[in-house]
Amino acid sequence: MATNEIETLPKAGTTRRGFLALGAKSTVALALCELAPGLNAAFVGEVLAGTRAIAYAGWEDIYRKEWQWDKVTWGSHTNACSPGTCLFHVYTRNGLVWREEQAARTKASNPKYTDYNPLGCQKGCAFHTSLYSGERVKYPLKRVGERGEGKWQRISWDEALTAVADAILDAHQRGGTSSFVLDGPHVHAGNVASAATFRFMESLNGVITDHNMQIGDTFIGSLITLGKMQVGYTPDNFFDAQLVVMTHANWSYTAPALYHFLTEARYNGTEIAILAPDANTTTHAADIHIPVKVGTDAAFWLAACQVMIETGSFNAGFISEQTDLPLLVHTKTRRFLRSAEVDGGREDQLYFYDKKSGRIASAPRGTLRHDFDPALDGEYTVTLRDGAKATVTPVFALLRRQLDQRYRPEQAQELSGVHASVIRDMAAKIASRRTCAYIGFSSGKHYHGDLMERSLLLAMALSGNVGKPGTGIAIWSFPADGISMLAGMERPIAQGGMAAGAEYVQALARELAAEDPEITEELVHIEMMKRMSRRLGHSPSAFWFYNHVGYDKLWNRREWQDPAMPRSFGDYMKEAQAKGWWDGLVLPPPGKPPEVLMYIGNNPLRRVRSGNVQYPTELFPKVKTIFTVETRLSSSAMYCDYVLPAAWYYEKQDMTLSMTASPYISLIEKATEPVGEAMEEWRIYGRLLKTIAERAAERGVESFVDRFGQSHRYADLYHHYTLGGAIEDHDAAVREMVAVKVATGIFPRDYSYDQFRRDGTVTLHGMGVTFQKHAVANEFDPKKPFYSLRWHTEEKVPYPTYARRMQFYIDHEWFLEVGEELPVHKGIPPIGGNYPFRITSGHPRISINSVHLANPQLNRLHRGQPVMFINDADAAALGIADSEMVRVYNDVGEFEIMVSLQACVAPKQVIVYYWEPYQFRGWQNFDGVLVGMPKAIHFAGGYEQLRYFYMHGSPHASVDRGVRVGVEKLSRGVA
Amino acid sequence: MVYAPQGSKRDLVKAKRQLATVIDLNKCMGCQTCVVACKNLWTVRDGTDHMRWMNVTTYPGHGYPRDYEHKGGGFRDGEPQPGVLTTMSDCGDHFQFNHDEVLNQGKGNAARFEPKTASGETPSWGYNWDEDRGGGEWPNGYRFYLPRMCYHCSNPPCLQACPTNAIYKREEDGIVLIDQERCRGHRHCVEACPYKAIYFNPVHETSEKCILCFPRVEKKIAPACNRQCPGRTRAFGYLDDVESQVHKLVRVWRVALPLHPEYGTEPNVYYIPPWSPLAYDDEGKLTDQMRIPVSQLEELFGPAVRQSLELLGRERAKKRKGEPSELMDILISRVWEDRFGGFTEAPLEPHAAKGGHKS
Repeated sequence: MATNEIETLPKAGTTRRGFLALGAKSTVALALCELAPGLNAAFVGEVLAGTRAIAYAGWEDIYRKEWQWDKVTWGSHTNACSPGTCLFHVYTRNGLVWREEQAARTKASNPKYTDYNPLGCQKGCAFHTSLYSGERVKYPLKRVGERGEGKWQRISWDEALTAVADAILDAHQRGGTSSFVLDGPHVHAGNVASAATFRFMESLNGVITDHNMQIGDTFIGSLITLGKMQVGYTPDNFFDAQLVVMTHANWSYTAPALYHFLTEARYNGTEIAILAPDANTTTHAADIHIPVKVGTDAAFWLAACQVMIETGSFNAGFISEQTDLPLLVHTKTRRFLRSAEVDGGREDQLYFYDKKSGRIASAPRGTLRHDFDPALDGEYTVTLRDGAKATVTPVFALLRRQLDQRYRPEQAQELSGVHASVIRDMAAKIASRRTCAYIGFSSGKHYHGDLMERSLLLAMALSGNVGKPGTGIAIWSFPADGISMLAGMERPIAQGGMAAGAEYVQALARELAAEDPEITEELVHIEMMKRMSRRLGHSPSAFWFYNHVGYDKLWNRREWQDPAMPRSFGDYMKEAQAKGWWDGLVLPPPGKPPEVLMYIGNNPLRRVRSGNVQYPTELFPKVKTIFTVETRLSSSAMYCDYVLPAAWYYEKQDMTLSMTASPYISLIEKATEPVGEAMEEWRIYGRLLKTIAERAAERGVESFVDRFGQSHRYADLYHHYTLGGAIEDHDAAVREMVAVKVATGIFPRDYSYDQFRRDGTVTLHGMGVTFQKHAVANEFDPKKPFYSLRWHTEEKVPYPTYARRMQFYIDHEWFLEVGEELPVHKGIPPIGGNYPFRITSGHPRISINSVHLANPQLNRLHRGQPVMFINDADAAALGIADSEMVRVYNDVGEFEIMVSLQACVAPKQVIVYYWEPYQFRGWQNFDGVLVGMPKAIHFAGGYEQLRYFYMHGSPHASVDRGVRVGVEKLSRGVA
Repeated sequence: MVYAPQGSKRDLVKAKRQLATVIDLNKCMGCQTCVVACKNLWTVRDGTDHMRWMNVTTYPGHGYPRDYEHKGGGFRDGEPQPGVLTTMSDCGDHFQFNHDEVLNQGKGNAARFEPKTASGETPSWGYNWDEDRGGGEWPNGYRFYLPRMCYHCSNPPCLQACPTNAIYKREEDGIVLIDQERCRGHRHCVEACPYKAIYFNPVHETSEKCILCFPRVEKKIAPACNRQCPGRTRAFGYLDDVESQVHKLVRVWRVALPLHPEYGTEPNVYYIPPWSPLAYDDEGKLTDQMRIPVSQLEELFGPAVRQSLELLGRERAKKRKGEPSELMDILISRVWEDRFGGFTEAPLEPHAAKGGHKS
């Protein structure tokens, strides 16, 4: 098929050397044979006669010439992973990138800690091969067969853009702006490309389904407890810890560039414990592996809490000041005692019982500082304003009672499989040592992951391991100001582009303070994000899936959800909407599926649980036009009507994001021209907006009306998109992003683009000026290891929760109804039916999301195909030998896969790291059986921290850990 | 280096200094970055596809090339031992993938993206096929990763076995090279090498192997596998450089050990033997025993492994008590460059940085 074949690059079976010899006669000779002229007979004779000696060194030039390049530039691979900030040297010869190597230009925060070098993994070191791999999209493609069939016609950019522009204009005219949907864009494409994507969508008032609520990289338990989830530390924080407990993570697969901080902290005396069902491939960096049964983490943590309280080893001062544990709760209604009922004050003014004065005292909302001596136990009688008497008790007393009744170590052993002695031992260590926890992205994939996080955080709070060096939790945190400012500014920085945002925040602060004088700066920024999310058409993905992708058929199965929930998923959703908790967010509205669906940086058939079944059968048939801006033909791109080829890393200017996990920002330079006719995203969108304006003019349509009733002229869109013509390509965008980062303190003051080009990488200097700065609640000092939440623990700034404290007791009616007002352990409900095995998943070793799944070089580092890990004994019982094919099934679907036996997998656990659907027979991906059933009570709202803004909150549709499956040997055996 | 045909192999094996590598198995995570680094630099030429001069496999396991420990070679009591050749399959093959069939030929889900061997078969073995498998029994399963390469031995059996005297040690640094102009592809070296670190190039009909990145080393840049290792597992330098970490770990602390010392080749890659998590007893209580049986490590690293593990344990215990330990600080290497014994030049800086771009 000629449409998408590589014409300028080597074809399968041809080596690069062969290609170069064909393409350029004068090219550097690379083959050994070409430099091996053969021995001169006379010379050999002289040697044999002993009159001449052979100098061996001469031939060595053959290899030396391999180490020569035309050009070396900076490169990286943006945000496909976390950290994703690694700086590389990119080596170009004859117009092709031949290799890359970590630049290793990072320094330690200070000499007591290790540096981050070389910073970069196998994916980064193999990336150039993806540029020229067979899945690369090189020309605009039009589908000419059925969706998914893979029949393409190569078309020109003009043809492609005209077709897409017409489709968008049709959508605007027929269904309004909300009928153009961008589904779950991840930032794979890069920071500039992401900013461009958001600008483009905002220009057209489209809808963006929330990618983070699709992939479940969200931490509802942290949001419930801390009021936020973007907290983190730099990995050198491990050096300040005496104990690290890592859970829901497997750094050897997912963070190879940072893994050394674990092993080096261990050499430095830090004890490392890993809590995971299987002895995952990071376990050999640990002293202790705590093998909890799949989904029972909360039982372990709650028992550890029980031990701390029973032995009196908890930090009473810390919890009295920082948490809601001393707050008073009605013993009868289980609701907080509120000022509204005591003296007619605020509904959210809560109380301690002060032992010093012997009476209740208002818990301060504007600070955590107080001089009370709050009771942690006992029952107290309070007279309410209506004269009624009520009995109240501190949360701590309720907690203690619950822990003693349900979570003694022996009880937790029954639930979790972890011996009571191990729980006691770990509890004693956590209580007595500087301990930090690391929670990876798996907890967000558990149905009751919120309860696991709440339980873990409770253990950290009871032991006071928060807000000081060597403690805390790490989820993920970063300043995204570069993307968000570039996406949102009307004018460049030099023309005062940031002024409008700053003025908006100030006005908002005044508005909120009028209602609540004790409003905090963090809460103002959160409110700003809530409003922005609605303005920009961000839509929590649970609504999208339920209303448009047919998940109502899966998620309303009551027998699969928590049996404590009295209503179906759909009923919870409707009730939440009726209460107004999700106003302005349910887009596109039910019954109005999108006319045009766009993809960039998303492969929902791979990553959305059961997406490979639901999307093609339920969503796509309803959509008139599907297009993607892509670098590679993913399984999802195969279903698109138009594929617009995007330039990839090394083919355009960009820069990385900086996570606190790897506090650097690196420059990506354009080393070569894009392959084929691929184009950088900023230009693609610009041309598309121009085309839309032209086509609209041809139709005689001048403008459209957005969701808020405002009219926009199509002819103005390009001007708006380019910040008044100032930014028309990636180079200009990178320069502007540098200006943003300087203005927001993420880069050093007076830093310049030219300096960036010289340095290649910059150490993070600040956490920006938006909500993310407040989320971490600590100044970022590049000379020290970073940790979060210090402003709370030392400056006594309140948390952004209903109780203004770390909140373990949620008296929301839905939480009370299902018995989750306090953290509890609940088993994984039988999602997918009742079968003997529990499936778990996660990122594979050789790919970041699906970016590298079809990369031949990386596929040659393992079996090159999907495998399922299963315990030797379980396999033997089923008569299955290593490398045999099995069928895996449940009530939802089935797939075939090769087994790989492992002693380190838990009994009755099977592990499938993810793969592209097209790597499975019939494209029946393992994801097909996973359902992604979200927890319905996460629709709860009307309670400060139970809120949604972009990437935060709402039921996350990626629940898959512990879904039950059956396994049987395939009769035809080997693949 | 001068070849004296009337002399013995002794002249070819002479080296004034010896470069060595130490690989810390406690820090290796099996990520294969070293493999990718090596591959992209040296073995993307014709006839080298199947070669992994640098390779990492999971232990216990078959290793790479497959079952190399059972293919003979090396010395016993000073006598060369017979060996067998490795096959293309042993060397991990070179899988081919069907992008065009799956993505462009209109077959839809009737075509599946899958590997085929270089000869077009469905593979039943390949490089790193037993990745992560490991040993032991639940809940005490264990594994570790073993990176391997040419050991640039001080007593290289390959050199001794070469009938054309194509193999020699560089006098200045002890790197063992196969002269590609002189090699005639007899492959006695492949049989003789007990580590099976030599590969046959079927296109050029020569044997090839790791060259310890000598073009980089000559420019004071550490070999790619060492420098690109994200786990910072590698120390590199001259064994006689008393300031180098390799000297300290091999000669002073004696915690870094050769793989299969019984092969008698005096290899110059050394390993810090691996710890493992504590094992559970039958009731599920933690014991004070690590999961990897020391006897298994003895099979790999010889009896000295016990002493090494004990010393490593003692030194870490000091750190846990807040006391200093020079050994632990070496293994930590807060400054990454300290690992490389002076081979710390950057591998050609980009245009705007120091030095300018050049070839």
